[in-house]
Amino acid sequence: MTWRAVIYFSVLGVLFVLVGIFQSWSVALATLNLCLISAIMALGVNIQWGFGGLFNAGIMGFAAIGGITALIISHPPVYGAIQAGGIGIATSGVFLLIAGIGLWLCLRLVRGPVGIAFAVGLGIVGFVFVSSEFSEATRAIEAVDPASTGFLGGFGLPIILSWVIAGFTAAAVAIAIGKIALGLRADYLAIATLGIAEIIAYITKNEEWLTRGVKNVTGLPSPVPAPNEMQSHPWVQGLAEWLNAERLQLLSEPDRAAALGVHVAETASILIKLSYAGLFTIVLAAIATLCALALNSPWGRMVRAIRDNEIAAEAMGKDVRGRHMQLLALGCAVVGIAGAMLVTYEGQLTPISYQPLRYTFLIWVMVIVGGSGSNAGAIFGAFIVWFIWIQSETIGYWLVDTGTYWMSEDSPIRAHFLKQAQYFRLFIMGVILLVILRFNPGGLIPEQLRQKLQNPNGKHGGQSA
Amino acid sequence: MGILLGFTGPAESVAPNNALAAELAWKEISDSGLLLDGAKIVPVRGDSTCADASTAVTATERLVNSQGVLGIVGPNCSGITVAITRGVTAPIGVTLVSPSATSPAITNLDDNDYTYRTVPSDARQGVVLAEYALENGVDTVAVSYVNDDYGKGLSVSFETAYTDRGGKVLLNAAHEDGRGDYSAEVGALSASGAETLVVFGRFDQGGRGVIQSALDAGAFEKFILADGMISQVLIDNIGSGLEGAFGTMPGSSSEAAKAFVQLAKDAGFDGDGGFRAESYDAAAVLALALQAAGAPDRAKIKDNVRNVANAPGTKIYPGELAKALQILRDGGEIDYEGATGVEFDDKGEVPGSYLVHQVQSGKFEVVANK
Repeated sequence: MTWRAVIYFSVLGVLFVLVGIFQSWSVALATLNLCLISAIMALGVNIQWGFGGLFNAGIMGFAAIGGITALIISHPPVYGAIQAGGIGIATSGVFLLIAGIGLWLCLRLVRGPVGIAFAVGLGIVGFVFVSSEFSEATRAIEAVDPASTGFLGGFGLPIILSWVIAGFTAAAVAIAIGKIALGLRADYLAIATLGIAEIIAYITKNEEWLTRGVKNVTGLPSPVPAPNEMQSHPWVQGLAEWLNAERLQLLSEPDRAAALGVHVAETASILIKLSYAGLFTIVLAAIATLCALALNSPWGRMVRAIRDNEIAAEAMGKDVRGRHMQLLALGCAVVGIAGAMLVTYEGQLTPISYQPLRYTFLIWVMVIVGGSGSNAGAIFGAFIVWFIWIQSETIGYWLVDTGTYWMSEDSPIRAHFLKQAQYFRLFIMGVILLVILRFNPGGLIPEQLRQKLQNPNGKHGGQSA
Repeated sequence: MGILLGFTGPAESVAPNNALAAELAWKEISDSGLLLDGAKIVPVRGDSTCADASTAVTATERLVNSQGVLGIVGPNCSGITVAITRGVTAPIGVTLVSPSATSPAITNLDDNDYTYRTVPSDARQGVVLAEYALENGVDTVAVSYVNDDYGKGLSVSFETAYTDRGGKVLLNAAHEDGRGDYSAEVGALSASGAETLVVFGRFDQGGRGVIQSALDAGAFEKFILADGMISQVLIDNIGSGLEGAFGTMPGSSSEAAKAFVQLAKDAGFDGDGGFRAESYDAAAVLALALQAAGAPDRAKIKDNVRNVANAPGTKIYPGELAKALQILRDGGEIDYEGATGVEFDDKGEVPGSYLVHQVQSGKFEVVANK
């Protein structure tokens, strides 16, 4: 870390403390938790774009895959639905597998037009079998108590486990996509991933037997105690009393009990957020360490060489396609992990929330503002952008309020602007980004490249990033 | 008091008027000078985005913990309502009254009794609409719903009720909001062979687009609508093609609904359509519960919500909030009916009485009370 990064992160720390003091610690911690998750997503994008120059415009899709994984791992199974359609889904899965293997064999073993004809025939037969079996099964599943379930549910395992599995699922999907799309040049890859992310979002919305679709799944198990449980612990009550002793002493007996109740609820909610913050920090620290090690290893130098000049790197005998595949899989795995963590934190899967503005554009902005290619930059970018994203609502209102303060209380112009204050959020966000990028074109904490000539005394050419 | 609505996002066209309606009720209360000891209600707005739970939850944290609101009107969307209830308002203890979250999932939410809604669950509206359609001789339809929890829930409950009672749904398909062109959707609906199209959407988004394309293509002439579609704006945009279309809208008496529209008109906005009356009622119930509680105490407000909204007591309609405050101050009982007939059951739900509106010479007229 450079002095610049140290200063930036200290300023950020002060900002959070200010929010804690002037707004409330709950708001500060809620913002911090989302910052931590965003930072992990930004690291995922940084692996692809910053390390290797891969333009993945489908971040949203991999966040959604993480979300679905969290749902399937943690939700208790819905036995009625499994009885109704479990066998159907399983058979159609087996059919699909057989058809897939058959297709592969046709194309591999029987080459030429005969093979293609066989493959097409097999495809049609397989499609008819699978689709009839599958649609019947899904209809049966979706008919099981549609108001409260109507989907298969999951495995009922601890939700933290899903963070790991989400990484693997997202990587597997990324590899499948990479097989098809990685040969494409940067901008074509962007279009392909953009489309694939939309497909995944549509699957989350419409495959009700799997995700319950737009009816949402709420009440996923949480890895930390629920608020009610937390509030009933005697030590939480004691802590709340101790923290607010001065304020409580000023009150008379009946008011004191009520006030204590409020403070206990507040303390419990802060403790829950703190435990989440702890969990998220562990994951972020682990991933950031791995990223830093990877970037400074020979492998890291190789992928950056490929990024800077693909042709030259290939001429040196580097496996460009192989490295690209690794980067795509690793980056998507990290995004998937963050997606699962987000669903864990929110305790629900709401498919309509997967919108490109929030999950692709915003994460990209984080990486670019922070400084692409630099891990510290990606993390800082995520923190500052999410912080502004949340606080711009308050800033917008404040700006409108002070800006029209000189007008009289009932002035129609002032009233009009105050009513529009919510919309200043996106405007303020845009202005801040423009200003930051105008004065820091390489991002706030830009990538540091080793420069041997200017640093002849450095042992191995000094540090990088 | 807080207003938490989706000012940006999918519900952005509905939210501003909902906020105005809620603020109208609070202004009426503040201006009367009868609240507590002449206290005033200061509205604080927050953006629930309608789609992004993490932003909405942080905005709620801000309203609850830093602005210290006593109660919240909102949010519009069901998914966000669940997220906020679980994440913030139920554990901390702030009453949430949503004017438009209609998903059946909210009924059995574990909310410590802090979450209410002034709009009935979709489960009921589908049944009412299905019965009315069959009574009027419509026995074969195609359904187009907006692909979110509102449209989906409504279309499922409608289809179930309709087929159980002998009607036929030839196609029940989704449309997405915010598209430029709906001719593909309309083509599929028209190919099903149905003559009547049921549209569960939003009057200024996909719902309007579907009707417009259906008319342009000459695919359908008869339409059945639901609460999200009933607005004068729709008729103004579509024109005479909508003549004869009918749909359901929550409400108990057309007089009360008209009183609210008049109030809104006097305040300078259109009170017709888009959950505005529900927003007014949600805000009024919160403020009256505050008066009944006798002190700005979040838990006591919750305890008094049913006291002011349910029988027994003097019935209160829109525009009579000052009278209600006076009765409460004198220790009397009130039964807030409002514009939509508010009456909370033990789950914090309203029973769902509906008015059937029909387009007659370019205006929505109430033709039946269900």
